[in-house]
Parts: sequence; C-alpha cells; structure tokens
Amino acid sequence: MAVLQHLQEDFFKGIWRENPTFRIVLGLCPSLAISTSVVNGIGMGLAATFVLLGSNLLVSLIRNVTPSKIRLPVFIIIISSFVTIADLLIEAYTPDLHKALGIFIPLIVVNCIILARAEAFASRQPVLYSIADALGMGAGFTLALVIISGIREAIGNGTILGVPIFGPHYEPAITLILAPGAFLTLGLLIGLVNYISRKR
Amino acid sequence: MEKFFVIFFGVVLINNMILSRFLGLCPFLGVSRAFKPALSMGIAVTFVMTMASIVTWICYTFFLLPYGLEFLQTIAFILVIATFVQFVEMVIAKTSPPLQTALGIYLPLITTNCAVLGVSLINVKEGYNLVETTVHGFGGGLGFTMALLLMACIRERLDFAEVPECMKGFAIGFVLTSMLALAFFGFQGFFAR
Amino acid sequence: MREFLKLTGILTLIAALFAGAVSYTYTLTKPIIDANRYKKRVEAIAAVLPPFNNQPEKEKKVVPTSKGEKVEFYVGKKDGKVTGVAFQNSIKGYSGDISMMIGVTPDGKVYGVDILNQKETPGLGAKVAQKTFTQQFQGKGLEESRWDVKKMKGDFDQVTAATISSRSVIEGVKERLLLYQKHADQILKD
Repeated sequence: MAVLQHLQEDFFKGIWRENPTFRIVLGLCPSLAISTSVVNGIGMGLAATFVLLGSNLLVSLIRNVTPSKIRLPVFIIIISSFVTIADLLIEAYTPDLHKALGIFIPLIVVNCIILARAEAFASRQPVLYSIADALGMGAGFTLALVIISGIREAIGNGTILGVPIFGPHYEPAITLILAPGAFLTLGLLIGLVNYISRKR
Repeated sequence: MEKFFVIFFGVVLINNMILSRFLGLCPFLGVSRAFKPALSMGIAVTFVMTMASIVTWICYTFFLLPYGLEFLQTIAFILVIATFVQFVEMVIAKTSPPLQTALGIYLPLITTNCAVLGVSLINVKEGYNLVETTVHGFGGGLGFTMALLLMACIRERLDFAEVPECMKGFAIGFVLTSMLALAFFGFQGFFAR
Repeated sequence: MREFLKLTGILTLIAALFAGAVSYTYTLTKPIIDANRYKKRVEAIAAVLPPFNNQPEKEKKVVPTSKGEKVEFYVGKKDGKVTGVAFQNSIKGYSGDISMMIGVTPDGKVYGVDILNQKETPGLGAKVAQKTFTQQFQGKGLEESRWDVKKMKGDFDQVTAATISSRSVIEGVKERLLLYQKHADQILKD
C-alpha cells in the first residue's frame, strides 16, 4: 500500500508542486523556443518525457554499480544516447515535427530537468519510483509547454492546434510568437503560479 | 572579411544567444542579479564557448565526418565539452587558485549550458570553417555576456523597486528579459539587402 | 593508478555499449530518413512543374554558377518531350535564408514557385510562403517583367510590411531564371 502511495506522490509532484518549468524553473531553453504552437509544445514534451523515462530508468538500474566519481559522465552518456535515438526516431517517423523542433531535440541533452532528475532522484531511488518520477516530471513539463504555447499560439496567431479561434478579423499580436512574447508569457505565468500557491 | 563581420554582429546583436535564440537561460537568470558575478560568468562562458567551438569543430571534421558518424555528434560534443571544462578546471586549480575562487562554481555549471552545446551544433549546421567557427563562438560568448550584464544592471536597480510578492524573482526577471528582447528585436534585418 | 584505469575502463565500456545502441538505431532509421528526404524533394519538384511522366530527379543536369556553386536542374518530360525544368535557390531573406523551388516551362517563363524553408517573421515576412504571394510569378519571364516590388518600380506585389522578404524571394527567382537562360540549350538538349 505504501508503495502505491509513494508512486502516486512521485508522479503527481511533477505536475504541480514541483513542476519543473513553473516552480523549479528548469529546462527553460526549449520552454521558450518551441512553445510557439501547441503542436510543437506537445511534440517537445513527449520527446523530453521519452528521454527522461529512458534516462531515469537506466540511471536507476545501474545506480549500484556506477562508481560515484564517474557518475556525471555516465549520466551524460546515457542521456545523450537516448536523445540521439529520439532524434533519429522523430526524423524518421515524424519529419515535420523534426523540422519544427530543430536543434532543440539535441538540446534535450542539456535540458537541466533530465540531468537534475538523474542526479537528485534516479541515482538514489529504486527503478519503479524513478519511472514514476520521470513520468510525473515529463507530464508536468509537457503540461507547462502546452499552457505556454496555448497562450502564445492563441493570442499571437489566433489559432489553437492550427484551428482559428477568434474569427477572420482577429489581428494577432505577433510579438507573442516571437522572443519577447515568450519571456513575457513565462514571467507572467510564473507570477500567476506563485500567486496561486501563496493563496493556498 | 565581410563574412566574419556578418557572423560576429549577427550572433552578438541580431541573433543574440539569449534574447533571440533562447540558449543559456539557466545561468542567465541565476547569475544576473549583480554585476560582478555576471561579469565572471560572462568571461567564463565566452572562454569556454570559443574553445568548445574550436574543439568540437575539430572533432566533427576529423573524427566524425570522414567516417560517416555525424549522427553521434550530440554524444561526442557533450562529452568533449564536459571533458574540456573538467580539464580547464584542473588547469586553473593548479595554476591560479585566485582565479578558481573567482570563477567558483560557474565553470562546471557551464557544461550543462545549452548555449555552449547549441553554438557547437549551429557551427556544424551552418557549415562554418574553422575561422568562422571561432568567430561565431567568440561572438556568441560576447553576446551572452552583454545580455547578462545588461540584465544585471537592471536587476541591481530592481532591488529598490516595489515588486508585488508573487512577481519577485524569476517572474519579474522574465518580464524584464522580454523588454530587453523587444529592444534587441530592433536589430533584426540589419544585414538584409 | 589502478582506480583510474578501472574507472576509465568502466566508462569506456558504458560509452561503447550506448554508442552501439545508437548506431543500431541509426542503421534502422537511415533508410527511412533517406526515403523521406527523397520523397520530399520529388514532391517539391512536382509541385512546380507542368505534368510529366519521367523522373526529373533522375534526369538532372548540373550547372556551375559564377560563384562556384553547382546548381541542379531537374528536367520534366512528358513522353520524351521536355515540359519544364525545376531548380532550387537559397537566398538571404530578412532573418535567415529562404529556400525555394522554381519551375519553368522550356521558354524560361515561370510555371510555379514554392517556398521550401524560411525563418522570416511569422505573420509578416513568413507570408511569402503562401500561395497568395508565390502565384504571382506564374507566367512571368525575364523580358516582360521588371523584377522588383511595385514600390521600387517593379512589377511584383509585396507582402504588406514585409518588403525585404518579398524582394528577397523576387531576387531569388530572378537569379535562377538568369542562370537558366544562360544555360538553357545545354539543359534542354538530351
């Protein structure tokens, strides 16, 4: 029973209480760069979750045989291998997503979320909990990406998932699709999340 | 000659690492609270970025490309960067302890800096030769430092402003960055016909 | 020393293991990726050429430019007769390179223009990729038209508030039309 509860906790904390984007504020580079449309947000979120899952799983599996001194290079090898595999699979099976995500797929390697979870959690916890943690963090990250890109796509392009939502006379605020809009959206969202957390 | 000019100013102003390409954000917000640490980080990043650009270019051109192993570039580059940073850290520790104390934890942090890996990947994608790579890496570091310092100056003033509780920290930091990015957006199209 | 060797050994082993896994994935996906790229290119060519029943990609001619680039001309034929020629160009736009596929009828007049890749400002310069902009090139040749935007005494419309992106595309098409004209005989002969 305690195991199930533990698993639930490990999973759900990644979604709100320790949401990697809004609360821990990690993995910023992709959060801002590719969140120009919901489709890209989902794509990146899933790719990162895939890598996170693989990484947490393997790091946890070999945690007892990995000498502490070389654990950082080992994490890096594991993570970068999964990223390359993800990159190849995405390029082969979903080439449009691959074009949209561009260099941010290889940059998942330095997505601080993945290295942080490997170091802080997976290297010390059993496999099952590590999987839950990965899924939770991945889900939280994807959720954050969807929210950010939802706002940016809706206001900056007048669409959600490519479907126009404001009618033909809507003049999109293009700034939101561009760099300044990205920072602004994230800043205000973090402020909002802080506000909600304090009220509880 | 003109091409170097274009690459250099391109990466410092027009496609600024942080404000336009979104690379290097983690240290950007963490270190930009005050001028001095920002400067230290900026110098460290510029150095690593320039050297890493060169080293990863060599790795790609002489070890990966001739054997058709380009798909291993992500793994190879990050390992090269991590090793290089480790090596530099050791050298600094031996030769100049005061420099090591000054740079402190920044050096190892740079390994996971998306900007360094990002620049290396862009160098390869754009097909730069060795000199162009060096210019791009150096410019990238300078652009990063510049954005960092600008941000630090703004945030030092921010200490005296009344910021709503929920916006303190990263929230207001990002809003400020958005304005900085907006200002830099004015440089777009600088080199167009 | 022993510990150093042991650590290096373990690291190398793990690295080799994972490099192996990645290489395996690569060999699996490479044919699919190559096939995708080929298919995309074939589709891009077909989009700008009059009907043909050969394989233009396989019947291409390569022509060097004065800048030393090698440009590929994909010849489309129907029943052995040339119906059109397609070629690519990549030109500097407002915020990056714009790459396009251009198709002409044998007389050198544009049959179609398709923007393949661009990084222009979304909602502004990016609109050059839309049919509403590119279709204005149809039927235009080097002689009868002035190849610039109307604002600059040319014959072509621009995207509102995106003069630079528009001019870049126009320049890109013109550049290749000139190259085609110069080497038309060589390209059209069998």
